[in-house]
Amino acid sequence: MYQLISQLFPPDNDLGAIFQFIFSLAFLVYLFYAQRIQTLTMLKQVEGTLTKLMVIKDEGRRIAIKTVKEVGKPKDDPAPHIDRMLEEFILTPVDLDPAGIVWKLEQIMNVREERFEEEVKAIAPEAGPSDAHNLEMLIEAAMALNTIYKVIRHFYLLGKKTMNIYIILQVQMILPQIIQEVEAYASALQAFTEGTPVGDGAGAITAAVLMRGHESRLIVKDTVMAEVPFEGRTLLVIKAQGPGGNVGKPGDAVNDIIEERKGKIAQVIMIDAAGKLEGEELGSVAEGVGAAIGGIGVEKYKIEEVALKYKIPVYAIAIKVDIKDVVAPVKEPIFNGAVKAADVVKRFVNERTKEGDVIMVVGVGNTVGIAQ
Amino acid sequence: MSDQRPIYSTVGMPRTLLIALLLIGALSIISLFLGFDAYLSDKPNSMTKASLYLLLGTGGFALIGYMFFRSKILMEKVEMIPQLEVVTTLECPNCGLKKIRPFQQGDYLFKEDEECTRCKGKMVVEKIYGREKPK
Repeated sequence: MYQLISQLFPPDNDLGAIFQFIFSLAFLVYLFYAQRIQTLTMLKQVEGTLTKLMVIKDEGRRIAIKTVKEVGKPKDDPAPHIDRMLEEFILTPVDLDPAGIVWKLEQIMNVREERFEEEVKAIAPEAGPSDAHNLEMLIEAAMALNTIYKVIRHFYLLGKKTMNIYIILQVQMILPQIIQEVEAYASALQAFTEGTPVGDGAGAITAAVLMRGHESRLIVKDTVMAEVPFEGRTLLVIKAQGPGGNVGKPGDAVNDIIEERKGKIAQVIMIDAAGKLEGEELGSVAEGVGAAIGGIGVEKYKIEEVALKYKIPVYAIAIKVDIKDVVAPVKEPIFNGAVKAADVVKRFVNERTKEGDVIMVVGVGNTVGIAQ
Repeated sequence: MSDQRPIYSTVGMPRTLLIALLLIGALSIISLFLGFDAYLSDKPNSMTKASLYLLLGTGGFALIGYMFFRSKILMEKVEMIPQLEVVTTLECPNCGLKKIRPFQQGDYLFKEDEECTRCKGKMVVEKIYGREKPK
């Protein structure tokens, strides 16, 4: 290759000699510094994403402060308090002996939730219950953006300091997913500021459609249930209490109702938004078996435990959403998918239960902008 | 929040890329000069040399054009946070009149909202969804 290039620029005149020198130099530079050049190129890519992340997380903080001021009407400036909240963290329990870890995790999450609610109440004293829930979600989105920014900045600075290609490679490889995730949280800022339903609320929309026109009551914290008669059966439809941003306690609700009825439940049907694979249609509905619920696993564990205790079959209906739609304002195909899932529930009930049965239907997800 | 606005610096392209493009541009000009020089000379094999130099020069300019438009497209992609236009669909349960309007803060699914313009009944929020803003 080198010889070919040399033949191309024979040093028979001054310009040819300059060309030959440049190519020789480029060849030598590339021979010794190829990896360093690659490292610098990757660092530049990470730096670009980091700049974007910084702008977005600053925007998240700005929106959070502005909304708290508008909705909560605090007497003092909420900025220092919000800054402190953005830096909060959770330490998960020790898992050397995993027996009983779920209950420890639940205790930690409950403490965190209560503390968070108190803090929001302190900085937004005038906010109503729904607005307070939306503010919590808004600050959580800002927290997520802040955390992602800090992690990427850590790898960037560490990579720059050590010039170790493998440190930079780790973060450079996952940049597309990070950008998608960050865009999702950025869209969440819009959703929770305005109080629009989000993609994750697809399950809650299905439950709301099913329980429409029927009386609902609070059964556990932030979770409601309606008894809906349907073709000789009774549907116990459960969802988080809306229209404020809230995921409720579906695990506790399912557990309490099944225990209360001594296990006399024909089946549990769970509806939730699920991550779609590339190529799958947005808002398409899929059926399966098992507890359809995300999160850290506490709620899922409770449902699985009680279902196992009474040998109740648990069915899942998934509404497919893209990662960037999870906390963004719900798109029309997802909304239509959620309404279609209500028909799937009715078909399930018709095909797999008999008259007189009691069926539990759980609409899982964030219920922002969705009443009952 | 409702406007789609740039959130990332839109000032030109990265400095290093600009320097690289300028360097390639300079080399391409030299190459084109050498090409025309060889084309006009009477030396043996000058036509082959001229073709190669001209090819290199035009190739360089083609690369500059490609890099310029590619970086512009990439920057446009990076600059915007996707903002959706959220709309509320209202329906009158009495007369079935439908209405679509921009989402207003305080709207929620199945909320009894404004008065029906046809039968004076209460319209109900039937649907809330976001859609891409027309470009």
